[in-house]
Amino acid sequence: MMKYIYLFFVFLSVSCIPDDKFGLSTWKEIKEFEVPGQAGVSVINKDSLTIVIPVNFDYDQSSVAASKIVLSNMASSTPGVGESQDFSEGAVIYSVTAEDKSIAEWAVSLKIQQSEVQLPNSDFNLWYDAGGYPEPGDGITTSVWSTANKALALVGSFNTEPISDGNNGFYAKMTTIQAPAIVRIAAATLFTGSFTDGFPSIDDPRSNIDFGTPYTSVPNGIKVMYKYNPGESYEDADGNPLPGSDACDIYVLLEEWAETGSSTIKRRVGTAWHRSSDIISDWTDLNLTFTYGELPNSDPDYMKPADGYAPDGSKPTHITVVFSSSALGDFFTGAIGSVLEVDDFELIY
Amino acid sequence: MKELNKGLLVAVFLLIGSYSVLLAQSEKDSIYFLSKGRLFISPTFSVNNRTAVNDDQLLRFVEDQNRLEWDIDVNVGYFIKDNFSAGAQLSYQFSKEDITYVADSNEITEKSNGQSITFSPNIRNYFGLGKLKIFNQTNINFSYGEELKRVYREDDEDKIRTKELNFGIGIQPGLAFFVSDIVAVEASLKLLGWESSIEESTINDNEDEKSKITKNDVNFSVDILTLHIGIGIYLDQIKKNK
Repeated sequence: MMKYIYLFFVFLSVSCIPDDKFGLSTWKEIKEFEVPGQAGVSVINKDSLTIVIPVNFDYDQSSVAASKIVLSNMASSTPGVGESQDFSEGAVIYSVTAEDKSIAEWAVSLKIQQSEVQLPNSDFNLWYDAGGYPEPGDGITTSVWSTANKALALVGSFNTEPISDGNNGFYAKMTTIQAPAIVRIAAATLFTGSFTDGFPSIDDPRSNIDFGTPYTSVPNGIKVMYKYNPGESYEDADGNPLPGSDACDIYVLLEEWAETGSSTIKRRVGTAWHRSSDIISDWTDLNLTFTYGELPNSDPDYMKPADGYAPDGSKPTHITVVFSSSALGDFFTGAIGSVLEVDDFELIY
Repeated sequence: MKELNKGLLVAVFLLIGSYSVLLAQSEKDSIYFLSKGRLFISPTFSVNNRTAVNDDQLLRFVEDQNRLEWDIDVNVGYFIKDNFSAGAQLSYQFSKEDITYVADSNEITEKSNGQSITFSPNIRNYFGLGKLKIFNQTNINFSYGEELKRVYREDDEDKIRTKELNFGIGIQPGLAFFVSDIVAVEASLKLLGWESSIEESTINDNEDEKSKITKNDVNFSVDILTLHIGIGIYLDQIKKNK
């Protein structure tokens, strides 16, 4: 008997299926790369193995440590996150080693940009197929814009889409639709940030979104072309009729982000917000001016920040831009058929 | 229908058991008598293969699939007294799958390889006369299994390694029909008593996010899906052979 038990434990110790049973991974890409205080989105070129990070003219390039590096699975990089490098002499080489020990050398450089920066693809002309549904930009790892289409795609639907502007370009059309299951409506939204991985939460749609993208400039306001037509029957989450009509939401938040352990504190630097039920049938320029610092008490509560305000004079580290066809879509309140169309978003300096 | 089948099987076991006890008087004269000193060995083998091409499933379209599973078991026992044996069963299970499917417009290929080994010391009580006997086997099971899976996507690859450790105590009643004095066809049902398992899964060597699932299961229901059929070879008394 003891011999069998001994053999059993010998099996446990020597029988492991080797990692290279099907071969080892050759992937050695850098998917995301960020440095603190960068002025815009990092541009990653997988063909030339280069990364260009926009920074402001007064950025100290002599000692910069990456705050975020996302690599291919099982790959490692040298140097890594938190290891300071001198970028003042030009590109710094980051060596990425794949699981199979093959190495790719990525050239990472900082690029001083003009202070009056615009967000990439803010004319909404670029869209890509994210797997049966459209998303703005040229790819999931490079686009600063996203939508909630990923959640609806699970049931073969989407409600934010590109529409040809008849001039070789596109605008974004958002439509509040009847939800396929469980909840009443699915409001459409277009925002800076990303939709989270994993199965989306149905009862807390806001938790599915990581709002915001790096941005360090100080604009006076924004301008965007838009049209809005609220749906006919304005109802709450239970389908009870409400007075008035559905409203669109267009807002831009300038924020100062600070990492505290596993969470991020987002203190408000500037606010520009438009929520309206007005029917706008023709393309109309919407101009909003940023309010820097604390909002006046007369402003509605929904404009107020959850994490408080940054000290006076703070510069933003991130910008959150949100368009929604139903302002209270988070709470499944709105009108099926509400349509918000936007084009040519611009930051005004 | 399943409930009816369960009832029928239990009834058959009970009837044969009662019949055997009633006719137990002159059993020692039978060539099928399981006397102290005899040995039995019961090997079983099973294989399962699935291949599929262009199989439209609920959430994915399987372009190509090839799955192979097999297991081999050897149960050896020694009759330490008449109609009562003590022994052990050693089992090895192997699985291999190569599948390519399309989900959310993305083509994904998965390759996996798994194996497990089970060691089960057991005792058996036999009842009955002649060719047909009923037995009850009580097991203690130790099992260890592992699986390596690679998931190949268009822009990256995942490695998923799973290990599972099981411990359990089970009762397995069965029938043995002797087709000769040493060869019997055996059928037994697994009546799971108690099973405890720990499963650990690591994705892409990320030990910080290793998942660990511990399960304890107590269950005395008859599961006709675990009907085991095999051949038992009952060797004569060792002393007599010498």
